Amino acid sequence: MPSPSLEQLLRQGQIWRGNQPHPLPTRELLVSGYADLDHELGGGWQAGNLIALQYPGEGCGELRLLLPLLARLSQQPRWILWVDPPHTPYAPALAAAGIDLSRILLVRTRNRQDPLWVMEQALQCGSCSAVLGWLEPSDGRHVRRLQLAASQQQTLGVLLHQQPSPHTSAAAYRLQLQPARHGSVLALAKRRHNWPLPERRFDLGQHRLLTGADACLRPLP
Amino acid sequence: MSLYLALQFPLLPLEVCYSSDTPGPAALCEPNPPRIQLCNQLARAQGVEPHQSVASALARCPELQLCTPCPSAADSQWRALGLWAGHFSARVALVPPCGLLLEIASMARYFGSLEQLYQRLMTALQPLQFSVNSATGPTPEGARLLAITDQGLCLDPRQLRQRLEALALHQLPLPQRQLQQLAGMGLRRVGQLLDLPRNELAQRFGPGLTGYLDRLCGHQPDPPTYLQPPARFRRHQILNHEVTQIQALLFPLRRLLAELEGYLRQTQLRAAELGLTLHHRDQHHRRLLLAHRCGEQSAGVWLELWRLRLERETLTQPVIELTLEATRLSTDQTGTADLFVSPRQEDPQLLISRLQTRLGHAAVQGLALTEDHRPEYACCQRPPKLNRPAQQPLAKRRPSWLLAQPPPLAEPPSKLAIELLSGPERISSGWWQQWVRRDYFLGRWPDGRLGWLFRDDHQRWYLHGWFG
Repeated sequence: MPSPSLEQLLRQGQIWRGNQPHPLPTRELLVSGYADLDHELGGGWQAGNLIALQYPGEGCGELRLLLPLLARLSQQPRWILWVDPPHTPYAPALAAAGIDLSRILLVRTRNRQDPLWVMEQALQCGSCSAVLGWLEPSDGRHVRRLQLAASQQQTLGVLLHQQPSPHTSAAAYRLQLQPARHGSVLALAKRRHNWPLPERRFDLGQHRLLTGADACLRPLP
Repeated sequence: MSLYLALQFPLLPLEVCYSSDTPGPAALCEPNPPRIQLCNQLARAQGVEPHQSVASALARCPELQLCTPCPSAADSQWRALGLWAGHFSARVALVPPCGLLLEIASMARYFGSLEQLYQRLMTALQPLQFSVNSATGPTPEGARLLAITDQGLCLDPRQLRQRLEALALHQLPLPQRQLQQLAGMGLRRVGQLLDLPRNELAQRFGPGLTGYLDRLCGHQPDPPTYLQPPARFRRHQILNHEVTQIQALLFPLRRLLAELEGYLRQTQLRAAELGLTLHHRDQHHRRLLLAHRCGEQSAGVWLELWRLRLERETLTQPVIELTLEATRLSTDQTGTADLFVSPRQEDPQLLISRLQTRLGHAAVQGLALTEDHRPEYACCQRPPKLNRPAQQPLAKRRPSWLLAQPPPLAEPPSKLAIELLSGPERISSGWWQQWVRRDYFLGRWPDGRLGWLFRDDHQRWYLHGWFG
């Protein structure tokens, strides 16, 4: 029989039972748009958290993972902020994914401190639904600050980087993405209220991309 | 019924001369003959008094800071306080010397109650760091008189009469000769004077005295002349010491911005751009501009933006004067009200202003579609605008990353083990400007990544984007 205070901690989502993952979510759930992934996340990403996503290079599904989520978030009259993306996010593709382009905000910075400052401001102010930042988390304290800033509001922070992050990270979700011949291989090294998930293949919309209306493969001339 | 709030700034001529935020004993001295004109509480505690000679004041308080009167600075500060008071009432009158009169009965509902309005005003005055005496009263003259003795809230004529009756006669702002005559008649309190029949008083002292008493008690209307806000806000401030650290400019700036906020609230405008001129010695000056996207009134928001803006600057020489002006005003009242998701969420435009202030204007961009078949022209960056959702055209399969400079492939895809999964899609357009004739393919790299390749007329292969 657990004591009342333990019961309270369980209800607040501060601790979870190892044999009963996914307690009732304490924050708004943001559906990723992929049923198999949502199942592993216990219904979706919890708002007000930071996702650290490591991927080896563009083209392996790093945006496809987020696009359905961003499309839904872009229905809110709040910004979706992109800090220092590696290339230009291509408007026709974002529009085709259902994202309202008027919510997109691109920020380019010039020195090492500014991206962190921008992300922290954007996460704290509450006028962004999601904040995506491409920066290498060289210092664990920076990640902790961003996770803290995200938890103040219902804003989802996503930290995208190519270097492996240090083993301990304050981000609520830690993901590693690898390209694969079919779909992408995703490992959830850390997730809310559940054990880590070893590498698993997810389609992440690749099948639909390859079998879309104009996807017919014609013989090369 | 009207109600007036009188504010008296008794030490204003001295306080505009302070050279630090935490002054010690200080006094204003007339040069000829050298006498003390005004002194602050700390000096008074050590025995310094007005009309004392400077020598004896210094004998009592050796560390006394002596300031030379600067009537123009005190005057412009007084007028600026009149603008500042616009925050609380649209009807503000300047009452010499160094006093303000606000009509507040009509504003009580807006602030909840008179007590709340009074508390808010007193709290807002604190950061300006001026000594102030205040009182309210149903007549302008009554409020003024009670303010001299700092009597606080007094709401109705009966209360006014009670308080007036208790005042000593010499506190009335009457000619010295009349006060002496009244004292000679054996009168000590204002109550005794008010009890005397008016006709006899008028016969003996003329209509000036009875007219004043009637205005004091509200028997005769006495509408004040209210201040007309100027068409432009421009405020010049002489700093009392040279400022070498840029962060130190924020202290005088806070006061100027509070005055600006009062001005904007009274005129129902928003400032869209502010100019701050830093004056150095030898007529040199530097002008900094700061914009807010859809205009803002709040001094707090502007101060935060200025803090970010000034962080980017360094001072090469000390600043001796400041000028703050509103270079662009906007009348936009609705602003972005419909975009508020919840009242506690801040204005979405503020984030952009904040980012642009620190990173530069071009660092923050929005994204839009353009009607062009050429992939590199189908997407453009533009100033961000959070408008209502637009109808999105259905696009074909396009990569989510587009490379600005398509790198050429060293060899054809087949030799690089790139598997072509779909294509070709012929894109041919732009003969009028930059002719593009390309065949696009979706290719899978050996490691599984998906890219967007094209082959040009010369059978050369390029990578144009990633399906991220």
